[in-house]
Amino acid sequence: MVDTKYFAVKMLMGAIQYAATQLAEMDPAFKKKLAGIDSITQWKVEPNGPNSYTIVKNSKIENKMDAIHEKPTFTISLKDLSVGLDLFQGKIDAAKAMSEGKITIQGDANAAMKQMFILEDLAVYLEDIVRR
Amino acid sequence: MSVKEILATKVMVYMMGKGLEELSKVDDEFKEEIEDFEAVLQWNIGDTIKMYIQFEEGKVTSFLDAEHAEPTTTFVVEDYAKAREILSGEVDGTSAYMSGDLKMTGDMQAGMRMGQLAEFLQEALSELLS
Repeated sequence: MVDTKYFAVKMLMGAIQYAATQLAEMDPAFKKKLAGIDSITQWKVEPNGPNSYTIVKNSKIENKMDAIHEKPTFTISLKDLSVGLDLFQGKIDAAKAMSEGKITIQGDANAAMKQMFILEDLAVYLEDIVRR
Repeated sequence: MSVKEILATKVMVYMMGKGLEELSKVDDEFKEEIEDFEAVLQWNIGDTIKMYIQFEEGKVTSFLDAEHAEPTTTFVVEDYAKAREILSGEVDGTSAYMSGDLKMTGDMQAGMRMGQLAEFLQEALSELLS
């Protein structure tokens, strides 16, 4: 039996990160916004993943699925798979989820805030898929 | 073609490729299904999206933004919106083939297998597609 929730969260996590990589290549305005950012974002879904990290550097985005980075700039932890599903589908507001403790950020919170626009910008492009 | 059209379609292509890859690791029934399936299935959408999936010795590997030199079967969909309907399962592959929206060249039998494998994927993605 496939754990459909885990499967869905992993696919969405990977797809969104792939989309970010692609958007950085295709959209000059988005690429421009990435200028000056040099960070490693670790994504964790408690308690058992999926986990992945994203590197933003030189206006490019790279991703690694099923991986934990030794020294991320910050780590975004999602309380469970349901929070992952809701967040990646745009069903919950990230700021509200943080205030409720569903999403926690460890490490450099300023850096995290500075690149929040990445998910927001992507949502516009992905609404057909992730907003169901 | 707009960035949005391309990106939205690329995301679905990602889900198909990586989804089948993931299934080959976690779904025993799927593993059994592909045990003796050896093929390279190339997908070309519009004039920008190319991806292929390799089935070899019970393993699935997908190659995003890549074109194989000698695929077993090639699927071509010109229209991005149509491609998304096919990839999401909204439109069934056979009817898309009949209507000419989905073109298939190379080994037809291997192409038909793709349809069966896609059903596994749709089931696994039920959280998203329902």
